[in-house]
Amino acid sequence: MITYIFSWFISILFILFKGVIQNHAILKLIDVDIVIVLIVYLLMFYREMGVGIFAFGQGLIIDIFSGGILGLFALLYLIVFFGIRIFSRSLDIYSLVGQMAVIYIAVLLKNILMVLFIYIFSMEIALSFFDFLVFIFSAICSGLISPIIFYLLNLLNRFSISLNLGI
Amino acid sequence: MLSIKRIKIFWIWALLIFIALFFISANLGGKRSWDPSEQLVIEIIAPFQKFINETINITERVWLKYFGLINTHNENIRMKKELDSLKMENYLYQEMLATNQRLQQLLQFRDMSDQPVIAAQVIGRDPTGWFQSVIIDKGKNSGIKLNMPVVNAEGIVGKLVSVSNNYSKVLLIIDQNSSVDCIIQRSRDSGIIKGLSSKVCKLDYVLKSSDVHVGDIVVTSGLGGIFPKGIPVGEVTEVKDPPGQLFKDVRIRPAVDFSKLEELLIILKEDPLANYLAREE
Repeated sequence: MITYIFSWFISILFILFKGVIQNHAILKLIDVDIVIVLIVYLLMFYREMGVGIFAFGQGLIIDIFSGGILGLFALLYLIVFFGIRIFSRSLDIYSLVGQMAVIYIAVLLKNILMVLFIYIFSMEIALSFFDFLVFIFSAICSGLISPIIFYLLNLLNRFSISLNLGI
Repeated sequence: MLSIKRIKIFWIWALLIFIALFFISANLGGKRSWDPSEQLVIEIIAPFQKFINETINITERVWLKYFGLINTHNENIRMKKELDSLKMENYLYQEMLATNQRLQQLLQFRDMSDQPVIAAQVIGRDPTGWFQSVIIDKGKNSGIKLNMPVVNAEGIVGKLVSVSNNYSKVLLIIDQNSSVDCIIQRSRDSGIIKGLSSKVCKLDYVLKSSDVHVGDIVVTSGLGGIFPKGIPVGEVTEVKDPPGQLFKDVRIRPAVDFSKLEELLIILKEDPLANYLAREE
């Protein structure tokens, strides 16, 4: 349970941090999506319902701080969560390569869905070829950083288990 | 038993999707302010953002202006310490001077404006990068209301789209979903400005017969009831006359440097339409 609560806390801090660093072009390019990384991690250890609520809640918080339509990112992360569930059936999310692959695909899916939503909800956002390169780069970065985040969360998980067992 | 559980889970998923879709459909008609529950979330979370923002700013300043310089002076420890303390002092003075200059510019603007204004600090930007908005540290408690115009010493910044007790969200004019009625200062031809990127905006609906040249200054027209008349918006950088189209293709460089937004002024001018809608609610 500690890891679940900690994930909420880390994810919210990350969203706020992204809001502060949006001015820095390089950091914008290396757009790591910690929310998706955390969804994949939580899916390995927690009930689907809890993880789904996590995805929905994080999306809603992003919506509140963002200039877009309320509910847009809540729906986006919920769909990405369902996508991750489907991908995890064919890819082993308990292996390192499987985790990275699922995160890579999920981040790409999120960006593609976002482009789709822009057209569905008639939002006027200009996209260039460079943006699509950023999507791919963002997916790669998120996939590559996931083992480190998973390692740190595993440490926390072990700590919470040892606390529960009174060791 | 298992099937009942599955049905239950299915309905919970359906409810979550329904809520998300409900939010989207409820907001498609236009921007609306935060509701009480969202206000509660923002009031709880935004102080953390303020803290992160200040921490990053201090770290950045120290890193760029202090450590960057300190590496070049390593001849003598005593001299270095003296020099460092002087540099730190100097840096603090410079920072104070820069802040002073910015605030003076804001004050000059406030003196020019015949309407009351209130200063606010930017504490965060849109975390997604898809939209152009900022969160500021002033809200209803400071007398701020929905749709009030936001400016700085350089020109128009945007308008308030969501307000809570102590924080507000400003939709910048460079957002592609924002539109402001403007006029060319010299020829008085009108158009509607829309965002393209943080460096370029386009002026829509400029008639073919309009007299627009590169270098012309664009100001707000005062139409629409939100933005006061005559506030600088930007400068015309490109004018095209595409054949077979009704309007000219006009590009504008915004007067405000949106990558360096720190202090903003909110003009305490109430939007009659927002007031009417609030009364209706």
